[in-house]
Amino acid sequence: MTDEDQDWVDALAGRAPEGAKRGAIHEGLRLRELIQRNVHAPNVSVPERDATREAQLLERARREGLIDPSQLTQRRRRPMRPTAIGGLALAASLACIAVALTFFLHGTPQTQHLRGAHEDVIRIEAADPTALKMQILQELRAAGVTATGYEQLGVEGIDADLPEPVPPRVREVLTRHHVSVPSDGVLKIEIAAPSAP
Amino acid sequence: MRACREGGAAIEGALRQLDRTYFGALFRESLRGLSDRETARDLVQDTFIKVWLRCATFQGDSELLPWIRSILRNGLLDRLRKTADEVALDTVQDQPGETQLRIAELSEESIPQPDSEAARVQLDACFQRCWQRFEAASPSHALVMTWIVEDGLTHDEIGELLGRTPGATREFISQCRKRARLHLAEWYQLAFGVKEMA
Repeated sequence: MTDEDQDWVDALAGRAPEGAKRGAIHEGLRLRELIQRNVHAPNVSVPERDATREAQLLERARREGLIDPSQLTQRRRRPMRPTAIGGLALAASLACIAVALTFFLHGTPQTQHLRGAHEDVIRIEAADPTALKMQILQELRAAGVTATGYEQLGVEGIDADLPEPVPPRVREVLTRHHVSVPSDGVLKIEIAAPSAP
Repeated sequence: MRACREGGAAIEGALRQLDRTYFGALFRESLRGLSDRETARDLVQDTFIKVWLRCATFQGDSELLPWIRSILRNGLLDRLRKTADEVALDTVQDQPGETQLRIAELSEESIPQPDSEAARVQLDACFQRCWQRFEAASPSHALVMTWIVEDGLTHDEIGELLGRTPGATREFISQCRKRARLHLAEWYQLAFGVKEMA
Protein backbone atom coordinates (compact mmCIF):
# COMPACT_ATOMS: atom_id res chain seq x y z
CA MET A 1 0.00 0.00 0.00
CA THR A 2 1.34 3.39 -0.91
CA ASP A 3 0.90 6.67 0.93
CA GLU A 4 -1.74 7.43 -1.66
CA ASP A 5 -3.67 4.32 -0.69
CA GLN A 6 -3.47 5.44 2.93
CA ASP A 7 -4.83 8.88 1.94
CA TRP A 8 -7.53 7.17 -0.08
CA VAL A 9 -8.69 4.91 2.76
CA ASP A 10 -8.57 7.79 5.26
CA ALA A 11 -10.77 9.87 2.96
CA LEU A 12 -13.09 6.91 2.48
CA ALA A 13 -13.41 6.69 6.28
CA GLY A 14 -14.13 10.41 6.51
CA ARG A 15 -10.78 11.36 7.99
CA ALA A 16 -9.45 13.47 5.15
CA PRO A 17 -7.75 16.65 6.30
CA GLU A 18 -9.62 19.88 5.60
CA GLY A 19 -8.76 21.59 2.35
CA ALA A 20 -6.68 18.71 1.01
CA LYS A 21 -6.34 18.65 -2.73
CA ARG A 22 -4.50 15.43 -3.40
CA GLY A 23 -6.08 13.18 -6.02
CA ALA A 24 -6.33 10.09 -3.82
CA ILE A 25 -8.14 12.07 -1.15
CA HIS A 26 -10.66 13.44 -3.61
CA GLU A 27 -11.15 10.02 -5.10
CA GLY A 28 -11.84 8.61 -1.63
CA LEU A 29 -14.15 11.46 -0.71
CA ARG A 30 -16.21 11.11 -3.90
CA LEU A 31 -16.50 7.38 -3.38
CA ARG A 32 -17.54 7.95 0.24
CA GLU A 33 -20.24 10.38 -0.85
CA LEU A 34 -21.63 7.99 -3.45
CA ILE A 35 -21.49 4.97 -1.14
CA GLN A 36 -23.29 6.90 1.59
CA ARG A 37 -25.98 7.92 -0.86
CA ASN A 38 -26.43 4.67 -2.74
CA VAL A 39 -25.29 1.65 -0.74
CA HIS A 40 -27.58 0.54 2.08
CA ALA A 41 -28.43 -2.63 3.93
CA PRO A 42 -31.56 -4.34 2.57
CA ASN A 43 -34.67 -2.95 4.17
CA VAL A 44 -36.33 -6.22 5.11
CA SER A 45 -38.94 -6.61 7.81
CA VAL A 46 -37.94 -8.99 10.59
CA PRO A 47 -40.24 -9.89 13.50
CA GLU A 48 -38.68 -9.17 16.86
CA ARG A 49 -39.95 -12.45 18.24
CA ASP A 50 -40.05 -15.63 16.21
CA ALA A 51 -40.60 -18.88 18.09
CA THR A 52 -39.25 -21.03 15.27
CA ARG A 53 -36.11 -18.93 15.03
CA GLU A 54 -35.57 -19.06 18.79
CA ALA A 55 -36.13 -22.80 18.87
CA GLN A 56 -33.51 -23.22 16.13
CA LEU A 57 -31.05 -21.13 18.11
CA LEU A 58 -31.65 -23.10 21.30
CA GLU A 59 -31.31 -26.37 19.44
CA ARG A 60 -28.04 -25.16 18.01
CA ALA A 61 -26.85 -24.06 21.45
CA ARG A 62 -27.76 -27.48 22.76
CA ARG A 63 -25.80 -29.17 19.97
CA GLU A 64 -22.82 -26.96 20.77
CA GLY A 65 -23.03 -28.03 24.39
CA LEU A 66 -23.96 -24.57 25.68
CA ILE A 67 -27.24 -25.77 27.12
CA ASP A 68 -27.62 -28.83 29.24
CA PRO A 69 -30.60 -30.70 27.73
CA SER A 70 -31.72 -31.77 31.19
CA GLN A 71 -32.10 -28.10 32.18
CA LEU A 72 -34.23 -27.48 29.12
CA THR A 73 -36.34 -30.50 29.88
CA GLN A 74 -36.65 -29.67 33.56
CA ARG A 75 -37.91 -26.22 32.78
CA ARG A 76 -40.41 -27.41 30.24
CA ARG A 77 -41.72 -30.37 32.17
CA ARG A 78 -42.66 -28.61 35.32
CA PRO A 79 -43.57 -30.99 38.11
CA MET A 80 -47.21 -30.80 39.04
CA ARG A 81 -47.89 -29.44 42.48
CA PRO A 82 -50.39 -31.18 44.77
CA THR A 83 -52.85 -28.33 44.27
CA ALA A 84 -52.59 -28.76 40.56
CA ILE A 85 -53.18 -32.49 40.84
CA GLY A 86 -56.19 -31.81 43.06
CA GLY A 87 -57.51 -29.34 40.54
CA LEU A 88 -57.00 -31.84 37.79
CA ALA A 89 -58.90 -34.50 39.75
CA LEU A 90 -61.77 -32.10 40.30
CA ALA A 91 -61.74 -31.17 36.63
CA ALA A 92 -61.68 -34.86 35.76
CA SER A 93 -64.76 -35.50 37.87
CA LEU A 94 -66.56 -32.62 36.20
CA ALA A 95 -65.40 -33.93 32.87
CA CYS A 96 -66.94 -37.30 33.58
CA ILE A 97 -70.28 -35.67 34.25
CA ALA A 98 -69.93 -33.61 31.09
CA VAL A 99 -69.01 -36.68 29.07
CA ALA A 100 -71.92 -38.62 30.47
CA LEU A 101 -74.37 -35.82 29.74
CA THR A 102 -73.03 -35.37 26.24
CA PHE A 103 -73.23 -39.10 25.67
CA PHE A 104 -76.86 -39.26 26.64
CA LEU A 105 -77.86 -36.09 24.84
CA HIS A 106 -75.86 -36.30 21.61
CA GLY A 107 -74.74 -39.86 21.11
CA THR A 108 -71.16 -41.08 21.42
CA PRO A 109 -68.49 -38.69 20.13
CA GLN A 110 -65.02 -39.96 19.27
CA THR A 111 -63.26 -37.57 21.62
CA GLN A 112 -64.44 -35.38 24.42
CA HIS A 113 -62.64 -32.24 25.51
CA LEU A 114 -63.08 -30.27 28.65
CA ARG A 115 -61.05 -27.15 28.86
CA GLY A 116 -59.90 -25.67 32.10
CA ALA A 117 -57.15 -23.27 33.01
CA HIS A 118 -54.96 -23.45 36.05
CA GLU A 119 -52.51 -20.58 36.21
CA ASP A 120 -51.20 -20.32 32.65
CA VAL A 121 -51.71 -23.95 31.65
CA ILE A 122 -54.66 -24.89 29.46
CA ARG A 123 -55.97 -28.30 30.42
CA ILE A 124 -57.92 -30.50 28.08
CA GLU A 125 -59.48 -33.87 28.72
CA ALA A 126 -59.75 -36.36 25.92
CA ALA A 127 -60.49 -40.06 25.58
CA ASP A 128 -57.16 -40.51 23.80
CA PRO A 129 -54.77 -37.84 25.12
CA THR A 130 -51.80 -39.13 23.13
CA ALA A 131 -53.69 -39.02 19.84
CA LEU A 132 -55.01 -35.54 20.57
CA LYS A 133 -51.55 -34.32 21.57
CA MET A 134 -50.08 -35.66 18.33
CA GLN A 135 -52.89 -34.10 16.33
CA ILE A 136 -52.45 -30.65 17.89
CA LEU A 137 -48.68 -30.88 17.58
CA GLN A 138 -49.00 -31.80 13.93
CA GLU A 139 -51.40 -28.96 13.23
CA LEU A 140 -49.28 -26.40 15.09
CA ARG A 141 -46.15 -27.48 13.25
CA ALA A 142 -47.99 -27.37 9.94
CA ALA A 143 -48.90 -23.79 10.84
CA GLY A 144 -45.23 -22.98 11.32
CA VAL A 145 -45.00 -23.21 15.10
CA THR A 146 -42.15 -25.06 16.79
CA ALA A 147 -44.02 -27.00 19.43
CA THR A 148 -42.66 -29.56 21.86
CA GLY A 149 -44.63 -32.51 23.11
CA TYR A 150 -44.02 -34.47 26.30
CA GLU A 151 -45.63 -36.96 28.65
CA GLN A 152 -45.51 -36.82 32.42
CA LEU A 153 -47.40 -38.88 34.98
CA GLY A 154 -49.99 -39.91 32.44
CA VAL A 155 -50.58 -36.33 31.32
CA GLU A 156 -49.68 -35.43 27.77
CA GLY A 157 -48.35 -31.91 27.30
CA ILE A 158 -47.50 -29.39 24.63
CA ASP A 159 -45.26 -26.34 24.99
CA ALA A 160 -44.81 -23.73 22.30
CA ASP A 161 -43.75 -20.12 21.94
CA LEU A 162 -46.12 -18.54 19.45
CA PRO A 163 -44.94 -15.92 17.00
CA GLU A 164 -46.20 -12.39 17.59
CA PRO A 165 -48.58 -11.38 16.24
CA VAL A 166 -50.14 -14.83 16.26
CA PRO A 167 -50.71 -15.76 12.60
CA PRO A 168 -54.28 -16.57 11.50
CA ARG A 169 -53.31 -20.16 10.68
CA VAL A 170 -52.18 -20.70 14.27
CA ARG A 171 -55.30 -19.03 15.62
CA GLU A 172 -57.39 -21.40 13.52
CA VAL A 173 -55.65 -24.41 15.04
CA LEU A 174 -56.22 -23.14 18.57
CA THR A 175 -59.82 -22.21 17.88
CA ARG A 176 -60.45 -25.63 16.38
CA HIS A 177 -59.40 -27.16 19.69
CA HIS A 178 -61.20 -24.55 21.77
CA VAL A 179 -57.93 -23.18 23.11
CA SER A 180 -57.69 -19.44 23.65
CA VAL A 181 -54.65 -17.56 22.36
CA PRO A 182 -52.27 -16.95 25.29
CA SER A 183 -51.71 -13.26 25.95
CA ASP A 184 -47.95 -13.68 26.44
CA GLY A 185 -47.48 -15.94 23.42
CA VAL A 186 -46.43 -18.89 25.58
CA LEU A 187 -48.70 -21.83 24.91
CA LYS A 188 -48.90 -24.59 27.52
CA ILE A 189 -51.43 -27.35 27.11
CA GLU A 190 -51.92 -30.45 29.21
CA ILE A 191 -54.18 -33.27 28.04
CA ALA A 192 -55.37 -36.01 30.34
CA ALA A 193 -57.84 -38.87 30.08
CA PRO A 194 -61.00 -38.47 32.12
CA SER A 195 -61.01 -40.34 35.40
CA ALA A 196 -63.04 -43.52 35.55
CA PRO A 197 -66.58 -42.94 36.88
CA MET B 1 -23.74 -11.14 29.27
CA ARG B 2 -23.85 -11.85 32.98
CA ALA B 3 -25.92 -14.99 32.30
CA CYS B 4 -23.37 -15.95 29.69
CA ARG B 5 -20.49 -15.73 32.10
CA GLU B 6 -22.36 -17.48 34.89
CA GLY B 7 -23.77 -20.23 32.68
CA GLY B 8 -26.47 -22.53 33.99
CA ALA B 9 -30.20 -22.40 33.41
CA ALA B 10 -30.26 -18.67 32.61
CA ILE B 11 -28.62 -19.36 29.26
CA GLU B 12 -31.85 -20.24 27.49
CA GLY B 13 -33.56 -17.00 28.44
CA ALA B 14 -30.48 -14.95 27.67
CA LEU B 15 -30.15 -16.50 24.22
CA ARG B 16 -33.79 -15.71 23.50
CA GLN B 17 -33.18 -12.13 24.60
CA LEU B 18 -30.10 -11.90 22.40
CA ASP B 19 -32.15 -13.10 19.43
CA ARG B 20 -35.04 -10.72 20.09
CA THR B 21 -32.79 -7.70 20.56
CA TYR B 22 -30.21 -8.08 17.82
CA PHE B 23 -31.48 -10.51 15.17
CA GLY B 24 -33.08 -7.84 12.97
CA ALA B 25 -30.05 -5.58 12.71
CA LEU B 26 -27.64 -8.46 12.22
CA PHE B 27 -29.86 -10.19 9.67
CA ARG B 28 -30.00 -7.08 7.51
CA GLU B 29 -26.23 -6.70 7.78
CA SER B 30 -25.81 -10.34 6.89
CA LEU B 31 -28.10 -10.07 3.87
CA ARG B 32 -25.79 -7.46 2.40
CA GLY B 33 -23.12 -9.99 1.69
CA LEU B 34 -25.22 -13.13 1.47
CA SER B 35 -28.22 -12.71 -0.75
CA ASP B 36 -29.78 -15.97 0.41
CA ARG B 37 -32.04 -15.44 3.45
CA GLU B 38 -31.48 -18.90 4.92
CA THR B 39 -27.71 -18.54 4.74
CA ALA B 40 -27.97 -15.06 6.25
CA ARG B 41 -30.12 -16.39 9.08
CA ASP B 42 -27.68 -19.23 9.65
CA LEU B 43 -24.81 -16.74 9.89
CA VAL B 44 -26.64 -14.68 12.51
CA GLN B 45 -27.31 -17.74 14.65
CA ASP B 46 -23.72 -18.81 14.21
CA THR B 47 -22.76 -15.35 15.44
CA PHE B 48 -24.92 -15.70 18.57
CA ILE B 49 -23.20 -18.98 19.39
CA LYS B 50 -19.80 -17.32 18.94
CA VAL B 51 -20.92 -14.44 21.14
CA TRP B 52 -21.68 -16.99 23.80
CA LEU B 53 -18.39 -18.76 23.41
CA ARG B 54 -16.42 -15.51 23.46
CA CYS B 55 -18.36 -13.64 26.12
CA ALA B 56 -15.43 -13.79 28.51
CA THR B 57 -13.50 -11.51 26.15
CA PHE B 58 -16.20 -8.84 26.01
CA GLN B 59 -15.22 -5.57 27.67
CA GLY B 60 -18.17 -4.76 29.86
CA ASP B 61 -17.83 -1.00 29.45
CA SER B 62 -18.15 -1.03 25.66
CA GLU B 63 -21.32 -1.28 23.64
CA LEU B 64 -22.59 -4.75 22.91
CA LEU B 65 -23.92 -4.27 19.37
CA PRO B 66 -20.65 -3.12 17.76
CA TRP B 67 -18.86 -6.05 19.37
CA ILE B 68 -21.47 -8.53 18.13
CA ARG B 69 -21.48 -6.89 14.72
CA SER B 70 -17.72 -7.28 14.40
CA ILE B 71 -18.09 -11.00 15.11
CA LEU B 72 -20.78 -11.22 12.44
CA ARG B 73 -18.68 -9.32 9.90
CA ASN B 74 -15.73 -11.55 10.58
CA GLY B 75 -17.89 -14.60 9.95
CA LEU B 76 -19.36 -13.00 6.85
CA LEU B 77 -15.93 -12.43 5.33
CA ASP B 78 -14.97 -16.01 6.20
CA ARG B 79 -17.98 -17.33 4.33
CA LEU B 80 -17.31 -15.10 1.35
CA ARG B 81 -13.71 -16.30 1.23
CA LYS B 82 -14.87 -19.91 1.20
CA THR B 83 -17.53 -19.48 -1.44
CA ALA B 84 -16.53 -16.50 -3.56
CA ASP B 85 -15.13 -17.05 -6.98
CA GLU B 86 -13.03 -13.95 -6.77
CA VAL B 87 -10.08 -13.29 -8.98
CA ALA B 88 -6.83 -13.83 -7.12
CA LEU B 89 -5.42 -10.60 -5.78
CA ASP B 90 -2.24 -10.69 -7.80
CA THR B 91 -4.10 -11.20 -11.07
CA VAL B 92 -5.98 -7.92 -10.90
CA GLN B 93 -4.47 -5.69 -13.50
CA ASP B 94 -3.27 -2.29 -12.52
CA GLN B 95 -4.53 0.63 -14.52
CA PRO B 96 -2.47 1.73 -17.47
CA GLY B 97 0.30 4.08 -16.48
CA GLU B 98 -1.29 7.12 -18.03
CA THR B 99 -4.57 6.53 -16.20
CA GLN B 100 -2.75 5.99 -12.90
CA LEU B 101 -0.97 9.26 -13.44
CA ARG B 102 -4.14 11.12 -14.27
CA ILE B 103 -5.95 9.87 -11.16
CA ALA B 104 -2.95 10.76 -9.02
CA GLU B 105 -2.95 14.22 -10.51
CA LEU B 106 -6.61 14.84 -9.88
CA SER B 107 -7.19 18.02 -8.06
CA GLU B 108 -10.25 19.73 -6.78
CA GLU B 109 -10.18 22.05 -9.75
CA SER B 110 -10.10 19.26 -12.32
CA ILE B 111 -13.02 17.28 -10.90
CA PRO B 112 -16.18 18.21 -12.75
CA GLN B 113 -18.86 18.83 -10.15
CA PRO B 114 -22.39 17.86 -11.09
CA ASP B 115 -23.93 21.16 -12.04
CA SER B 116 -27.48 20.01 -12.03
CA GLU B 117 -29.82 17.56 -10.39
CA ALA B 118 -29.97 15.62 -13.67
CA ALA B 119 -26.22 15.16 -13.67
CA ARG B 120 -26.29 13.98 -10.07
CA VAL B 121 -29.03 11.48 -10.86
CA GLN B 122 -27.04 10.23 -13.84
CA LEU B 123 -23.93 9.80 -11.71
CA ASP B 124 -25.88 7.98 -9.00
CA ALA B 125 -27.49 5.62 -11.51
CA CYS B 126 -24.14 4.86 -13.07
CA PHE B 127 -22.57 4.32 -9.66
CA GLN B 128 -25.34 1.90 -8.64
CA ARG B 129 -24.86 -0.16 -11.80
CA CYS B 130 -21.11 -0.29 -11.34
CA TRP B 131 -21.38 -1.02 -7.63
CA GLN B 132 -23.59 -4.02 -8.29
CA ARG B 133 -20.94 -5.39 -10.62
CA PHE B 134 -18.28 -4.68 -8.01
CA GLU B 135 -20.29 -6.48 -5.31
CA ALA B 136 -20.79 -9.49 -7.55
CA ALA B 137 -17.16 -9.72 -8.60
CA SER B 138 -15.40 -8.76 -5.35
CA PRO B 139 -17.96 -9.04 -2.55
CA SER B 140 -15.53 -8.90 0.35
CA HIS B 141 -13.73 -5.80 -0.99
CA ALA B 142 -17.03 -4.02 -1.65
CA LEU B 143 -18.32 -4.92 1.81
CA VAL B 144 -15.19 -3.77 3.61
CA MET B 145 -15.29 -0.46 1.72
CA THR B 146 -18.90 0.00 2.83
CA TRP B 147 -17.96 -0.68 6.44
CA ILE B 148 -15.03 1.75 6.22
CA VAL B 149 -17.44 4.45 5.06
CA GLU B 150 -20.13 3.67 7.63
CA ASP B 151 -17.97 3.14 10.69
CA GLY B 152 -14.86 5.14 9.85
CA LEU B 153 -12.68 2.07 10.38
CA THR B 154 -8.99 2.66 10.99
CA HIS B 155 -6.22 0.57 9.47
CA ASP B 156 -5.93 -1.46 12.68
CA GLU B 157 -9.67 -2.05 12.87
CA ILE B 158 -9.73 -3.23 9.27
CA GLY B 159 -6.89 -5.62 10.05
CA GLU B 160 -8.73 -6.96 13.08
CA LEU B 161 -11.86 -7.49 11.03
CA LEU B 162 -9.95 -9.31 8.33
CA GLY B 163 -7.85 -11.27 10.79
CA ARG B 164 -4.74 -10.27 8.87
CA THR B 165 -1.33 -8.85 9.67
CA PRO B 166 -0.75 -5.11 9.16
CA GLY B 167 1.14 -5.86 5.94
CA ALA B 168 -1.59 -8.09 4.56
CA THR B 169 -4.18 -5.48 5.56
CA ARG B 170 -2.30 -2.79 3.61
CA GLU B 171 -2.31 -5.09 0.60
CA PHE B 172 -6.04 -5.71 1.00
CA ILE B 173 -6.75 -1.96 1.11
CA SER B 174 -4.62 -1.43 -1.96
CA GLN B 175 -6.60 -4.15 -3.72
CA CYS B 176 -9.87 -2.52 -2.66
CA ARG B 177 -8.85 0.63 -4.48
CA LYS B 178 -7.63 -1.20 -7.58
CA ARG B 179 -10.75 -3.34 -7.79
CA ALA B 180 -13.00 -0.34 -7.23
CA ARG B 181 -11.31 1.43 -10.14
CA LEU B 182 -11.69 -1.65 -12.27
CA HIS B 183 -15.37 -2.28 -11.63
CA LEU B 184 -16.40 1.36 -11.23
CA ALA B 185 -14.54 2.39 -14.38
CA GLU B 186 -17.68 3.73 -16.05
CA TRP B 187 -18.47 5.87 -13.03
CA TYR B 188 -14.87 7.08 -12.72
CA GLN B 189 -15.04 8.18 -16.31
CA LEU B 190 -18.22 10.15 -15.69
CA ALA B 191 -17.15 11.56 -12.35
CA PHE B 192 -13.54 12.37 -13.05
CA GLY B 193 -13.39 12.51 -16.83
CA VAL B 194 -10.84 9.71 -16.81
CA LYS B 195 -10.76 7.30 -19.76
CA GLU B 196 -9.24 3.89 -20.31
CA MET B 197 -9.88 2.78 -16.73
CA ALA B 198 -10.02 -0.95 -17.26
